[in-house]
Amino acid sequence: MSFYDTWSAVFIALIAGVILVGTALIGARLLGPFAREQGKSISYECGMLPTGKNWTQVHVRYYLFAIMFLIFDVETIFIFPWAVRFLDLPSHAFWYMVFFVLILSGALFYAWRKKVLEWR
Amino acid sequence: MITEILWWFFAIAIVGTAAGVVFSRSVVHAAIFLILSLAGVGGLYIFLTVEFVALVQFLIYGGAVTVLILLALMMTRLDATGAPDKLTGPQAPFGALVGITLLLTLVGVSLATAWPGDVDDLPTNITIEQIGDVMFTSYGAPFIIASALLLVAFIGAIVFAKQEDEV
Repeated sequence: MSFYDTWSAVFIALIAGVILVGTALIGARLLGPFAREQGKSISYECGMLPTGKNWTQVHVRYYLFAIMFLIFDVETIFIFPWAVRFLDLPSHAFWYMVFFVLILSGALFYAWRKKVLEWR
Repeated sequence: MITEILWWFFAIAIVGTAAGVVFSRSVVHAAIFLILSLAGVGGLYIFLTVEFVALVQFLIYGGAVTVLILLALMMTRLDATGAPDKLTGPQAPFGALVGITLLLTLVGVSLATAWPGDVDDLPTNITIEQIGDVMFTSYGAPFIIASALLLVAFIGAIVFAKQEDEV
């Protein structure tokens, strides 16, 4: 039963998390006062009435932030098994990882030089 | 016993949330259902005791790929009138064809494959330590090439996006 020895803590934490969030939401729903008025759903209650649609088409440059997140997420995944076995691996494994991170730093450097990282 | 109950729980959750992806009328709701579905698959990987694959599933698929899909939707969709989306479009027959072909292929492959016999109904445990050992002793070159692949993907995305910017 070593599987449940290892994972029961995660499972209990999952159930406790669901219960905590669920009771908070249900408690707010039961105890909090609710005034259902049409005017409460507009963006600025005392400001100008918003016009147009609430879904704007975002620019393609924001997609690059998502791509960057994906790529460095993958890098994290590769670093993980390396970090777990770091002390027992031969020394060239260290240089593999240095080279790996250097190549991906090249991606970051390229993005920096191309002014992708500037938020406009 | 408890494993079977949990397995069925995860299986029903995966199928239910996957149906939610297909049938929900708002793409943002569909994306949230997609996160839940992918996380459920990650839970099944934990039951197969392949923690590394579960980690990949949670971090990359549940996190990054869903963010990519959401941003792609926000980038491309123009007809955001707030009205519920239609569930089918002109692509429906092709989608059905691709879906049924994929289903038949996957079922056929999984039935035709001779799966390795696991001892005492326990799946073969592949730890992250074993993956680390193999990756950095036998597969060093593919590992470095993978980084080059990521670099090329990123530079390609930048080139496309910046072209759009300069016009």
